[in-house]
Amino acid sequence: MAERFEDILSECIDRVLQGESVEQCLARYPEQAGELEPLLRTAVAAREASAVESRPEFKAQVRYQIHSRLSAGGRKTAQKGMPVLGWVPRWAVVVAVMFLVILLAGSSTVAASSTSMPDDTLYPVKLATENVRLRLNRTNMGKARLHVALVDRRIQEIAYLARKGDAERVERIASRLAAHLDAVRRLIELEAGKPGRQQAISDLKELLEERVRSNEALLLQLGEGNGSSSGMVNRILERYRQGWQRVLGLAGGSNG
Amino acid sequence: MQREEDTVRRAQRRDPEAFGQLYEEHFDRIYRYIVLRVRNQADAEDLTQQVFLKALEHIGSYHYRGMPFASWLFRIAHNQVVDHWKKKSREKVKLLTQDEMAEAGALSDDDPAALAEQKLGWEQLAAACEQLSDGQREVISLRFAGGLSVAETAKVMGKREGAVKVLQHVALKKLRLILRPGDGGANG
Repeated sequence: MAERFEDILSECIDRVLQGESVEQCLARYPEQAGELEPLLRTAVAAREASAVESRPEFKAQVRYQIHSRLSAGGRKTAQKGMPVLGWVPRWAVVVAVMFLVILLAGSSTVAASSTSMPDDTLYPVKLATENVRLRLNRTNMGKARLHVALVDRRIQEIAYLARKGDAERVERIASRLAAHLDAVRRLIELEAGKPGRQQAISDLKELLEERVRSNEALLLQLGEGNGSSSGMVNRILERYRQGWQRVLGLAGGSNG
Repeated sequence: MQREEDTVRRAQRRDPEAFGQLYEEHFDRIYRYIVLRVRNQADAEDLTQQVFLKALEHIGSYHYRGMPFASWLFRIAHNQVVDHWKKKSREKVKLLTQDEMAEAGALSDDDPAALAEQKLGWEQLAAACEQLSDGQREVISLRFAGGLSVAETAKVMGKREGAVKVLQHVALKKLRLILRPGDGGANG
């Protein structure tokens, strides 16, 4: 009996991680539903929490190292660290790689990457470009506006991946989406205490509300019509709503 | 599976495109597994880098023989993590006390849907995993951070699938209690 429950739990976890909703799984095993539900919700929370992203420039850096070693005919340089960059401090490598990706790849590559999707080769370039834009932006409100624009991109990517049924990547992008929302909230919080910023905050609030309407409509439509991925999309929609509500609450607006 | 086998064979012949494909496919999962095990993003970056450089160095010695490529790669990652903690233990790693665990963010129990509604961060999850046994922690890390199937997890851990399922069950029950301390396991 115990073995059987563990098989059921395992099967349900696999289904939920593939995008089926917890409720759909529970409906398959009504007798075990009481015991299954808390465990499945814990499993979902663990999966979402562990979908942490590495820095795109770090990923590009390791890719470059591997490529260099392969190009060098597989000479063993493992003990010597980075074959070309040598013992350069970590921060310098990161900055150098980030700018190399963007500058040396050429503006046409960067432009092409802006429409790339998470399963495209150019996607890391897109993320690196976004990071540079955020770093170069000097003001908190400017950064917040950029994060809002990036939320739109993440939603488009989630929609694209959900249509393809790529649950793993959807989770990853959903984490990035949540990070953008958190960043907007923190930046508004920083600005709210300063005199004369109310108009700018109010403008940002309007922009947020406008985006919420169109993005929610897209996710709702996707959640309704996307078969096995609907549970996953609806979970993300819920998290998205909570994120926006936190931001709008801070901005002093309705929780639209 | 056949496609992956072909890709691995080409990577063994040091085809950059093939190795690049394997890298893209497994990088994020390896990184997430490591970050959960070492609880530090800078260390996780160093170890992830080492995993792929070791994989590149030793890919010639990989043979299918029932072990999927992901399991082979995760075994390298597992060994890196073990070595990391051995080194750290020499530096006297400070274990988390109960109070620090609470501070790290055990979720409140006043809301029945707490886990669904409060966003659990990876730091909280990693801190909670510290209270699990080695085997339970490994299963949670491989299954949920690494995204491995039960069969793949079993290969990495050198255990039977049934044993992995049991560990997974117990680990989830325990995690739920750690993350929602007031629950008392009424549903579990």
